[in-house]
Amino acid sequence: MCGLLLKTWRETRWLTVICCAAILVVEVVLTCIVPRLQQNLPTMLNSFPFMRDMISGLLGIKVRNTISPAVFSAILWIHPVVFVILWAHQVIFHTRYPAAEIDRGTVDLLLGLPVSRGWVYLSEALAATMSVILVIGFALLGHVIGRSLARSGFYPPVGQILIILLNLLLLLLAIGGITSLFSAMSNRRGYAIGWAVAVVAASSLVSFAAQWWPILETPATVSVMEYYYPAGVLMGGGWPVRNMIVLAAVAMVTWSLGASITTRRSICTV
Amino acid sequence: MRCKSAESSRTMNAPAIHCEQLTRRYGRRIGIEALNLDVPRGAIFGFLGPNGAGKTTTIRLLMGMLRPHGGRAEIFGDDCWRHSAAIKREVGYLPGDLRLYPYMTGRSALRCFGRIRGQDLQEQGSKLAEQFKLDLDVKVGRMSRGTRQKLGLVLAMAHRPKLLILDEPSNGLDPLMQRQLHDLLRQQANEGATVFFSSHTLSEVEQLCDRVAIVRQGRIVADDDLKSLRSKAPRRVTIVFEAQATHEPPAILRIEQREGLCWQCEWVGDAGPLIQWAARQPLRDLTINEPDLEVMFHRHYHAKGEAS
Repeated sequence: MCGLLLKTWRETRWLTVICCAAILVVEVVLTCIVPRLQQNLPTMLNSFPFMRDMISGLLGIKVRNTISPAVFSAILWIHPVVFVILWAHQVIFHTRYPAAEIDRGTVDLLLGLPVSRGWVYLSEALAATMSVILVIGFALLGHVIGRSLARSGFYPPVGQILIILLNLLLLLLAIGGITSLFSAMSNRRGYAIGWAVAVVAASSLVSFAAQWWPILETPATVSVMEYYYPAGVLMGGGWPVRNMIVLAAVAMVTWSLGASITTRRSICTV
Repeated sequence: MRCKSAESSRTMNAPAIHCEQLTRRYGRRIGIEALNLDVPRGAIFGFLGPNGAGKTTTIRLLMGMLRPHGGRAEIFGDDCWRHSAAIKREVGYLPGDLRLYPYMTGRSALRCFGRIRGQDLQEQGSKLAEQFKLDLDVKVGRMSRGTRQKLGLVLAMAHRPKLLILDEPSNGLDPLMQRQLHDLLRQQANEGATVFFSSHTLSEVEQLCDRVAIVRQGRIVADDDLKSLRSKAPRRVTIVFEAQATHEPPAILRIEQREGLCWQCEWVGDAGPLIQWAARQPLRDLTINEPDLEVMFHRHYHAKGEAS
């Protein structure tokens, strides 16, 4: 296991470093500018009324002329740039095995070693989880640095942020599980990435659009994004236990299905 | 306890490779069909066949990459699908279409694979690299195809496996390195290892093997030791007469061409009866060539209809 983890680390260290650096910079910048945005919110909403819908969709709440600073700070954890970095990390990491190994033909060499497919799958998942925890840690570090630079009492206590980050981690594990499932079923990494991105994008879109179209409320319940709701935590909702359980269950089920398929399927590189 | 010792004695006495009615299909297309094969321990076993005959499919089934649709494959008495990981402790494998991690050097590959195997491969790997004249400090991405093949062979042999499974190992190697590879494989066999390799080059198999199986359209069409195959192979015979032959030639002498007093013929089996017949003929010259395996293999390759 240790040898496999070291191999995975060697192959993914730059992905982790780049994602950590990117999320750190994005969080520092967002943390510094969000208080200013919040101050100008009434003017902005009057000038650009469509912004009201955009922000409502993002935060998952009805926006009037103003939003409390604490709730508005949820933007930091749902901003599209933040999501793109985190999703990219998960999708790249979780399509490495078996899809990418089969695609580049190195799986023959890897599985020619005395390792079971299950162990390789487990070691990849462990490495991915450690890496995503590190990336989320850097997001928090960026936020803390931004807070000290902004010198504002705008933000809620770090305890509440940690609850959001735990919810975010479970969301990312669920996305990782879904991606692993597609990877387990593919011989081409491109297909696995394509399907994973399509599912995550569709999930986001349904969740976003369900704010205005009641017809999408039922389909939105199967969207993983529906179970990540930072504004709810910041509005004093406490621990989103139900959301966390659902995300953890999705992660476990999809990951286990992926593992089962990987260990049972035939592997063809030619 | 008794059960365990019976199991261990079964695996101790089991052949290196045993396939029974092994079948694998790709949709409607047959990969291999009801293939039976036994490779004794310590043998150098050649697995011959044209492209698409089922050599790589058989090897991938042995390596646990493909799940059989019928029958079973065993290595040292253990099922290749169910005990794949455990089996590979004793197996060195070279894939036919070798792809190595491009960021690795030979040395880092030995380190990485050694860690996964829980074994230090550096010393033996360096010795093998020296024999193959391979620089272990060059990155795989910068290696030529032949050099990558050499590294693949080093990685397959560095842990001193009991069984080597090599899919067309001499692909991409120059004649000098091919000879080096043959010497190394003979050396491994002398030390007790079993070598199972696929090839479509008869001369390679002839030079190296104790035993050969020929696969065609997913079925074994011949499986015998080389000596026995040679005895079944046709010999080219040239007979030059002083005058017309006085007796009818033996029935098994197949005359391919008659040009005046010179006959080009084919003969299968012991040369004794042929020499006896020739002694009674007014001969000027008689040439009996070595058994020609090439002709036999070509007949197997191109035979029409279902294999026996």
